[in-house]
Formats: sequence, C-alpha cells, structure tokens
Amino acid sequence: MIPLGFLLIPFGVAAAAVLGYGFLVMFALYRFGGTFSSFAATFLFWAGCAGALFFAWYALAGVDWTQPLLDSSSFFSAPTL
Amino acid sequence: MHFPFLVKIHDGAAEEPRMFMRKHAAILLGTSLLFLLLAAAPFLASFMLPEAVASWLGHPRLGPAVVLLVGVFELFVVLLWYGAFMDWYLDIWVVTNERIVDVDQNGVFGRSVSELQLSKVQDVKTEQKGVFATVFGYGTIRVQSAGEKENFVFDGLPRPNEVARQIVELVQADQRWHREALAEQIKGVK
Repeated sequence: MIPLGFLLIPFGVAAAAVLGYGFLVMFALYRFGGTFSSFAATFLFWAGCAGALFFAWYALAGVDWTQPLLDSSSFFSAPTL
Repeated sequence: MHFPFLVKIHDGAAEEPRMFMRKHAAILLGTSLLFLLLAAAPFLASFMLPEAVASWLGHPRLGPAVVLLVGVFELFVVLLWYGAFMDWYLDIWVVTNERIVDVDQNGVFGRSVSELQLSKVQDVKTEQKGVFATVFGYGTIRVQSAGEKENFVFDGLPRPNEVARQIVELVQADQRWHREALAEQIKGVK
C-alpha cells in the first residue's frame, strides 16, 4: 500500500528545483546587475515562493498522510446491489 | 551596472559608455500582469466554480493532491516571472564612443555579447508599430553595418528616435576621428 504522503515527494522535488533555479537566477542578477530593481524582484520572488509554500502548508493542515493513496478495495470486493 | 567588456581604444584611452539601454519598463509590466493573471487563475476558478472546487478539496485523497498541484503551479509561475525579469534586466545595449555592444541573456547559463564598430555603421533605422508602442513611446532600432555581419536589432527600446539621433551623432564623430587619424598617418609617411 502506498501512503498518501507519497505525493509529497514529487512536490518536494519540484519545489526544490524551483528554489534552486531561483537561487541561480538571483546569483546571475547580482553577478551582472545588482541594483535596487534586481533586489526588489528578488524580494518578490522569495516572497512569492514563501506565499505559495505557506498556502500549501495551511491548506494541508490536518490531512492524514498515512491513508492509502489509491483505494483499490472496489476491485477486491464482491459487487453489491 | 558594470561593463566588463569595455576595451582600450584611441592610443590607450578607455572607451566611454555614452548610452545604456534596456527594454521599456512597460514591456516588463505587461509580462508581469500576464503572470499575475496566471497566478490568480486557480483562485479565480475557485470563485467561479465554488461547488466543484469544494467537492475536490473535500475529497480525502484528491483534495491534498489538488492543493499540492496548485502549490507547484504557483511556484513555477513565480519562477517564470523571475526568469522573465532577469531576461529584461540583463538584455542590454551599451553604446560607447567606439562601439555598440549588445548583451543577450538567454536563461541563467546563456549570455552572448556582440559588438559593432561605430566606424562600420551605415544606416540607423527606427520603427514604432502598434498601439502600446505608440502610447508608451518604445520601438525597434535597426543598425545596418558595412560588413557582412547581421544587422543589430533592438526591440522595445524607449525613445527610439532620440536614441537613433544620438547614435548617428556618435557615428559621425567616430568616423571623423578615424578620417583625421588616417590623414595624420598619411602626413607622417610623406
């Protein structure tokens, strides 16, 4: 049985990829630019990421991650009328 | 902004940046509005289809999956906007008293710098097309060179006519300098 918490793995990978690439963009901006507008855009980016992660964390409060991801019981039980 | 590509010219003097340009801020604003609309789309959908969204979110397994999917979507929208900002911010044109330098940023890992000597410039053409370009005052500049090199094209430049006039003045000054230097050289040989 695969638990529902399995869904957190692709989410974590995608979030890590976004944050990693964002870090590289930030580095490029400061390496070749580094003015107030690049600082403001960087702030907006990290604030947006924090907002999205907070939204996910807030909306997922109280979820039972140990319940099965797929409910296959209907395949193994006799049909009922 | 620093310019690591500046070189020494004319008897060892460093070339001086005269104009530094990037695309008009209205272009970034338009792109940002588009990304804002994309980021708001899931929330707009929940307002427009409250019953369907409530039934998805109320489902014990589908609900968390939808929330995680929306979270990833929002993260990618924010990242794509940040990338668009970087492209806007780092795509620049620098006109010095010797060259036109075009710096193109392609993603994080791609950056190309091409240059055109002012002495080889033959023609400067400006173009303003469309409602937004006219209202916000941006356009395209095409600089044609004497060689077989591709034309230098810069889209979305603010005040293109003013920029073109300044480029033509710099080209004339540079070509005059080269003519005088050549004349001095010929005198010296005689």
